[in-house]
Amino acid sequence: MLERHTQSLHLLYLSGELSYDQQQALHEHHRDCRICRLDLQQMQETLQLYRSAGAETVSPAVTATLLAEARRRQLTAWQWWISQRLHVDWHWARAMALTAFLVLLAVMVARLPQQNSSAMLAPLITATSATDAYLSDLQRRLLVLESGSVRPGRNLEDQDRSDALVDDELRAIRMRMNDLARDILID
Amino acid sequence: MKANDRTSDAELIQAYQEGSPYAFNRLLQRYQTPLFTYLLRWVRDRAIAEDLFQETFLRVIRALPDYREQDKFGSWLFGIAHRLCLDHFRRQKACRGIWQPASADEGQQGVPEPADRTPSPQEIAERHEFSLLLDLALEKMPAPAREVFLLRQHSDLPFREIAALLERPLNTVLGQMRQAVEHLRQTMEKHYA
Repeated sequence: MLERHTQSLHLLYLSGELSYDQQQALHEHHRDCRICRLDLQQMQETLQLYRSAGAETVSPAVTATLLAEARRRQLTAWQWWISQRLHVDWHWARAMALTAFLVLLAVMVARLPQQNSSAMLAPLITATSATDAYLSDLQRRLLVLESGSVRPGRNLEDQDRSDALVDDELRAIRMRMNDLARDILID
Repeated sequence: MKANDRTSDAELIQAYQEGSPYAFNRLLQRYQTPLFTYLLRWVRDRAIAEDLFQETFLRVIRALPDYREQDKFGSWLFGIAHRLCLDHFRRQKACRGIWQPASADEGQQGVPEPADRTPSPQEIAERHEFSLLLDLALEKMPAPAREVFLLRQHSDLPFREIAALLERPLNTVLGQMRQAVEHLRQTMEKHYA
């Protein structure tokens, strides 16, 4: 009958829990002790026989459930962490977002009028200038007519020439007004 | 982070706590077979073993974010499974005697089938017989010795950690292991003699 201590040493030896010195001492002892050698051998064979029964495999459905649950909990934990962070810095985040929005809006507003004046409003400005010039010219011509610089002659030929000049002037005024109206409509 | 075989439990737990989606998968892969075999050998019913397996890992998932003793994960995991098994048998004992022989169907559920080839009828019969023999040996084994034996065989924990887990002195645990091995050896000898 083996001592309890030796049996315990065999178990620790098989599970790899003996120090190097203890292993050497056990090997030394086994060289001379057949009973201990046999005991260790039987113990080893019995455990090997048990292990030969193989391992069991859990169903994939169980592992899939566990993986999903682990991921869900992990995501919940991260969501909580992020919400905590946002809660702490919420005022700063809002202020920064508002500032960014205002800067963006200012840039857009500053760019839009430049495009309108240069590209879209140019024809209208040109038309206005032309109208001003024409009205000045028209006013000058009417003043000439009113001042009598062109007036009926003393004889019939002079009167006819004078009437023709007035008619020409009125025709010219009508044509220029038509031109102006056409330009405005086209623009 | 992608875990490889050399990644320690502590590194995997830390990776899980930092949000890695692969870490828990790797931990589960590492421990699922030994833990499930341990549970099935003990309770001898696949459905119950799967319930206990799932409950064990659910408790791990719940506690893992705050888990700090990362070097002792295996011990902690098998400790949870061990306590769940004890609770299961306590509940069962209220209805019927503990370690009442399982039905033939329950015994068949525990027989592993290799995936790579179809075993011959003789192999199936031999394996089934061997599995029943193991069940019988474990059934007749004294309960404290069985606890130590199954923990040692499937968790691969050192005897010192098993003693700490079971809250028993190391010499007691070693004696119970010796008793279990001797019991198993005698059962096999009687059968194959």
